[in-house]
Amino acid sequence: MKTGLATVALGALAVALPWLAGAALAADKGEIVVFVPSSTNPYIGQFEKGAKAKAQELGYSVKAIENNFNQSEQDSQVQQQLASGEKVAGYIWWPFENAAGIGALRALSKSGAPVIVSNQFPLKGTDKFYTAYAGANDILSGKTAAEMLLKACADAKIKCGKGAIIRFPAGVSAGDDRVTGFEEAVKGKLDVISVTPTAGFLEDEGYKVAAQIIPANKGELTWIYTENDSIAGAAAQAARENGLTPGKDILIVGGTCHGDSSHVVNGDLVGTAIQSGYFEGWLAVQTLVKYIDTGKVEPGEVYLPADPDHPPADTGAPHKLNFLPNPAVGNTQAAYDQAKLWGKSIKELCNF
Amino acid sequence: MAPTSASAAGRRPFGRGTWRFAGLSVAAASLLLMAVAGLSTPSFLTVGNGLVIVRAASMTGIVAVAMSFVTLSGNLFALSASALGAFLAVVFALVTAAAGLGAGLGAVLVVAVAAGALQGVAVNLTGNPIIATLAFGAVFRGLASVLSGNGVLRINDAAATWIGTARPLGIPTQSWAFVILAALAWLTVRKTSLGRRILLSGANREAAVASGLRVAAVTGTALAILSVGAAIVAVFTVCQFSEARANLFNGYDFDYIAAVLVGGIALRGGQGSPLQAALGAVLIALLENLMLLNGFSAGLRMTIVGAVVVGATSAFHLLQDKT
Repeated sequence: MKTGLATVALGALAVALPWLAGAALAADKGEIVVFVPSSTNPYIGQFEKGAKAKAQELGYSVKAIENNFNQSEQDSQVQQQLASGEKVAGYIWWPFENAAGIGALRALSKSGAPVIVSNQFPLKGTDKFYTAYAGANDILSGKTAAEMLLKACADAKIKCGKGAIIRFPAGVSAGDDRVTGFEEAVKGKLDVISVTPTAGFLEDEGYKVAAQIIPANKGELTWIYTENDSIAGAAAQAARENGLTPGKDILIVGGTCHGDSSHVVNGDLVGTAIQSGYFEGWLAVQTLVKYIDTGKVEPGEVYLPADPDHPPADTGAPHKLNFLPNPAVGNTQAAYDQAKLWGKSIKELCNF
Repeated sequence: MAPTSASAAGRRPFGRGTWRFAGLSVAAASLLLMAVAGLSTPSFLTVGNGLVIVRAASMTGIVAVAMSFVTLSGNLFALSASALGAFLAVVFALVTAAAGLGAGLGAVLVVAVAAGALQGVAVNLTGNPIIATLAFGAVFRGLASVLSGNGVLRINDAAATWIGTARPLGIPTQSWAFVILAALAWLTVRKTSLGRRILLSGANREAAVASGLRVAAVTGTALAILSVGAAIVAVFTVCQFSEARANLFNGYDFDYIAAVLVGGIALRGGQGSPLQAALGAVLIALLENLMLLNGFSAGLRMTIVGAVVVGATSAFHLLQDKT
């Protein structure tokens, strides 16, 4: 009995110590609670880093509550957070499944604290449940990828016709939006013969699909769009294994720059675009604090400028929709080396 | 104590007729599926697509073959295989980047065997392989996250790239490994004393203990074999893409277990062969390929594979009870 009690006490102490230490170090202006899927995904790890860096700069602390890619778990975390009665400066909400997480978003909004939605574009009819959106515009991401592909088709003098889309798993609204943006941009110019979802976001899952789709449609496929560079790199590998030279026999584009940059600079991919997890978290915190400081939200949307050297100012009210820029980057070593956004190089933003 | 319902059911310890029938059933199902696919999908029955299917089955199949040792030993499944794979991938990438490919391979093998042995101790202490390995899965995923700093670990080694991307005689290295390991595993189970100990431990634990068999050591060995299987897949994956991440293989445990179940290996242990797990992996890869080529949605693909697992498991369970 005594041993059991001692074990429980030690366990409680082990849990409480880091919390107490964190509380002691908390910045003066308050705590921002960030709900995100697990940072075992490097992009999400970058998001947290960016959020913490910006919060520290602005005098706030961040408590990140991660779920293991599970909406039910995230819903439960929201209930526990709200039940704690803890006073917070605001919430940042990155739902694992956008539609399934609406109930939890509504609960957060009822707490009275401002709520910034990030990464997953808010669904129609949810406007009153969040203060503002700050993050990537996945429709723009798909459109940028399509534009890079169309330009590459023209430059390479390849007759681009039929092609395939390898997309994120079903239920990931960012995947839906990227396909929408891409298809709208290529409508009447390219022929999409298949849209196949992967089981995940990484190379191995992308390879699994690409290695089956490419040989089955050999001789037909002239391009592939994959929603990110990790999957695009795997598709390039699968293309080579099937005797197709990327950039010559088949054009491949991912459109978001996380992944092995060697596939971009060696011309396997037609190019890439900077979508930075670090700056997405950074922007979410900046947007929240701008609202806290001004108490206002401007209606409509704003596309933040893709300034290579200077990030957007911390002053003024945020808009309802605040989009990260998505600058395209060419597929040469020189273009890659020179690419910058808001004072950070593409290597810092994409090679994490 | 781990599950021992085999003895309670009064089954024969080895039941070769049953597992042979199960193996033949899986092979027949594969052939039937190929015939249907060939008639309905023109691009299906080609040599190229056949190689693609074997390649697709290889990575799942290697772990499933290794997992079959755990199932055959009467310990159901290990729910830590995917997380262990991610942890081993991170270890391999870190050591290879710092000290070269040889050191990376050596380190990953040592860590894999140690991880298997540790899990064996936990399974024997708790008497519950599901809970023990589930908990270890969390430990491994967490360690992978800590060691990688939630970043992407890159390696740059020509020999490693060869391991991950070469195609000796036109066949991917992963497929060679799958076939060779399946044959080795089959030989181990059918022709060695370790194999007989694994089967007896699974078929009748009380009899195994009474005959002086160290069942705890058998469990540890089976889990170490599984860990080595996970290590092989981790090495192939890191070598193929020249990088490792903590979230590799997320959600793959179902695929590994599905291959073992569809292969018809007795859930309670003692009956079956690693070849059945290999065939199970090929059957699922065939099915996945057919659905992929016909544009089935991810949800429908998942539903059908799940239904096949339920159907196969129920059928083999009924079959066992009748023999």
